[in-house]
Amino acid sequence: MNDKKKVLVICWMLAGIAIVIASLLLDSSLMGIALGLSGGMIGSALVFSIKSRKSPEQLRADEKRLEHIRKDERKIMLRDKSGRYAYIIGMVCLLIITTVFFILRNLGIVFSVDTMISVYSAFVIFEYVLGMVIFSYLEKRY
Amino acid sequence: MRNHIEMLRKANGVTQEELAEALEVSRQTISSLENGRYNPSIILAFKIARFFNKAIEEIFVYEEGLV
Repeated sequence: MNDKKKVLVICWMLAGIAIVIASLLLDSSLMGIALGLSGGMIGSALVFSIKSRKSPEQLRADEKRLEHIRKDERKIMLRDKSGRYAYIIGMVCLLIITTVFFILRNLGIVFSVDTMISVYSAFVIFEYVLGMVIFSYLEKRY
Repeated sequence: MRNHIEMLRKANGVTQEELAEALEVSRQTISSLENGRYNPSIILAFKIARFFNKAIEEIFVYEEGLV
């Protein structure tokens, strides 16, 4: 890991720690999301620094391999295709979710904001997993 | 599209990994090319032709209705 990346990783981790301290001291209603964000920042900084503990030759070989995967035209095509299919399926799912919420609301069933946040958060995870599943399927087909 | 990549590769004693490295693509792409599951772009086709020192038409066989 070069010096610039080291500085960025350290700053990222310190920012995460600062958010933890601030959220614990200030005791705000946003404490939950702040702790989640800081956990992600500290975790990702730790993972990055552990993964970077390789020899320069290993890092160069990894970088070369990743560059091949990034620039490989077939993989680019598969990523584009799987993204398009995930987008279409995602739009249909959003339409269905919104319609269901609308119907249930008009039937007198009241939803809390928490329920809607949970449903839409689950949708985001579903969309991410869907993209990966479609990519795997297309990779075997093409 | 049919092609002679596998035949040429084996005739030259090159592995899929080595060919992928030379063409700057992944090994899976070479496998897909050889199985005819994937048709390369014109740029990749030229790279393949240059690697084997052949014309594109000698490597790739274009037939109507098969693409």
